[in-house]
Amino acid sequence: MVKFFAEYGYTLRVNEKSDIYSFGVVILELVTGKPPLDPEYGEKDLVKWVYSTLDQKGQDEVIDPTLDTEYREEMRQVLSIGLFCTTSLPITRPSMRRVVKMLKEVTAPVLPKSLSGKLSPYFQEEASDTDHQGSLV
Amino acid sequence: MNNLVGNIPEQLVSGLRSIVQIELYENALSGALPRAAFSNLTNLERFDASTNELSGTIPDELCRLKKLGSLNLFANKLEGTLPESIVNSENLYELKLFNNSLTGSLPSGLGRNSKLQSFDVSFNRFSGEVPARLCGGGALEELILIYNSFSGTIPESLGECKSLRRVRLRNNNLSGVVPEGLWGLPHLYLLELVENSLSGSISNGISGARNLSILLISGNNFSGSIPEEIGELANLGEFIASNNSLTGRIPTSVGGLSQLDRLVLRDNQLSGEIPAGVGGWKKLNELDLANNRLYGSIPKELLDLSGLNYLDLSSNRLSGVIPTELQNLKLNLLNLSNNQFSGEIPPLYANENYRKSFLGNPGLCSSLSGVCPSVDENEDKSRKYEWIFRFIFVLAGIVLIVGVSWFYYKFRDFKKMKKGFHISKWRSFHKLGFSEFEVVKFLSEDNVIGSGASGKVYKVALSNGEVVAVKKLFGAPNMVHGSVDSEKDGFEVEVETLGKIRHKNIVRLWCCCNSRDSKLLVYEYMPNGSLADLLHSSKKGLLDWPTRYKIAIDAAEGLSYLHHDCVPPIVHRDVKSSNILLDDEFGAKVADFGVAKIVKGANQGAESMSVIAGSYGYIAPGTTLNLYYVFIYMHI
Repeated sequence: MVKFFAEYGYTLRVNEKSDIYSFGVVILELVTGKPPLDPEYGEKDLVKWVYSTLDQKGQDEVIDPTLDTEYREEMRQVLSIGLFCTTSLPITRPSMRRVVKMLKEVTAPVLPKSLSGKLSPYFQEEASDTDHQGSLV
Repeated sequence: MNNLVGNIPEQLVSGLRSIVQIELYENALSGALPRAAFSNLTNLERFDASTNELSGTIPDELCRLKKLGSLNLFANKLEGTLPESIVNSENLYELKLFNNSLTGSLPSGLGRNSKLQSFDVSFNRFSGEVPARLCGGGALEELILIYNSFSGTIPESLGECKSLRRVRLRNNNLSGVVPEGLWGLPHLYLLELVENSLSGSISNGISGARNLSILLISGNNFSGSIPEEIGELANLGEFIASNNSLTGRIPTSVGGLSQLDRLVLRDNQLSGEIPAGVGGWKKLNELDLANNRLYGSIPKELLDLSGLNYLDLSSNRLSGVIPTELQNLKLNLLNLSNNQFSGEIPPLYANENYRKSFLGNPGLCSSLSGVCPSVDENEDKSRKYEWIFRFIFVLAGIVLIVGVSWFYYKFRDFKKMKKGFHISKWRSFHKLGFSEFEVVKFLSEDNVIGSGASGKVYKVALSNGEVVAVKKLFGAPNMVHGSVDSEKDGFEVEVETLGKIRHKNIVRLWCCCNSRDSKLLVYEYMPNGSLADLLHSSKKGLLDWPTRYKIAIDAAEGLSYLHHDCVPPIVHRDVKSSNILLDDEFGAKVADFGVAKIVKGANQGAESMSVIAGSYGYIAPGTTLNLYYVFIYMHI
């Protein structure tokens, strides 16, 4: 309940940020090949399943096993964008424009090694995204 | 969205001495903001009271706060000026005050002391000059001043502001020459100078604006020619420079702009020919060169642009024969009037619907009345042909009567059933070459390809070979008045929203039909169905990683367009894999705006947020919690 009230002030805004969350779910579907809701997850949905599986078993258990391993590194990066979009605080989710930019940068092979190590639920440095209000005009 | 009403109590605010962030947005808070109380909040970094009904002025005490970084007061009823004291705030990076009734000049030193990134004071009544130091911190990315009364010139310093991404200055009273550097900023994505009194020419330094995607400069006094360098802007999607005094030729380099979607140069003094080599305009949707001094013929390459929807070349000096290939284009608007075209009108267009498209071309001839000039040939010749015309008219009359009778006989029952059917006035897509009757005929259960909460979707192959997807919204003839209204809203929302949008990653809406008991939306057909159907079925193997990756980018670009490039912005509200459709090459497009709402300004703000939309599994946790809360509440 504490968490509920802590989030209350942020979350009741049906705006661009809810689209971004939903889009994050679509990204997770593409990476995992799994539907958003499935009896397999028990009480959870896909987002919670991804988070808990990442915690307990690591990335390779999350990524769709039918996909060619040649693209593993790209998939990991796209996965992290999906996680970034589905963070629980709307304020920390990236804007759609930023999502496009990040997705396009995935093909660029140069990426700091630190990112490909243990995956954090969302990039801390991205949390400063100044576009969080999404200009209305 | 908490439905808080009333004032913000002075005591409440003053007690929060160590608070860093206050969020009160989207409520129905009214009255003035507290004043003295703000002086105590020395740790406040972010204050957001946007989208309320706050009135009065912006408190000086709030603007004096040393640590204040982000101030959002947009969409309220605030009056008065922006306090001078905000200039001293060293941490200010975001200031959004749009949609209020603020007046006076902006403090001239604004931006001098802080790294301002995002500045938006649109839709107010600000006047005076644009502050010269807005980009003093070198970090300004968004400068949005649209719909105010700013005057004077655009500060020279903005031409050196390399961080700028979005510059929107439309509908002010700005004059003088645009700073040379502003044309060529390396990160600039959108430059909007529409409806001012700006002069000078488009600088050839524009080649430096490598990221420029939208260039809107119509309704000014720009003169000179369009620089050849504009052809170097590989990302240019929209170039709209209508209603200026541009002269010279349209540079040939423009033909190479492969991302170009809209090119509108109407109402200028451009001369020369339409450049050849426009075959590179693969994404071109709208070409409007009307009311210039262009001559020569229609280039052949133009007729291969399959995405072209709007073609207006009227009021020029174009000549030659109108190519028959023009019929291959799926045009919603065609205007070739007031030129010097000659020869025959292509057969498909030689009918009354297109009469206005060809008016004022003395050399054009067809059976259309009014298009042909009334040539005063000698009487003899006229008399000679008189009986032929008479015969043709009689024959045509007979054919018409027979045709109508046959039609009546054939569709008698059908008409009885679908009485009152008519195309809504919203937009005419007659070029598609099918009628609502033809569409309705194919709406059988065999053709159903999908079914959603708002209606069924049919695949319809039309007699002209075209395939379209028809969404039939569930009718509700016996419902009570209120429900009928809300159903109507759903329809209107989707039509209004989608009808105006043209983007490569958004499903095209061809037309809509409306009748007493059913509503039809005719979309482009997406042969590969939805992402959900493919990804969560046995056909999953079709989607290898490069395809999935491209789908992600396509869909993201579609949504980004809705969020950032539509005015007003559009929130889709039902993003999910079954609403992402795939064309024959697995290119993805976003569909189904059934629950999309346009993010509106202050007054409608609360109303437009009052319905939670979306699909389970895709709703952000906060929203779900709210439903959960309602659920518990109901069971207590």
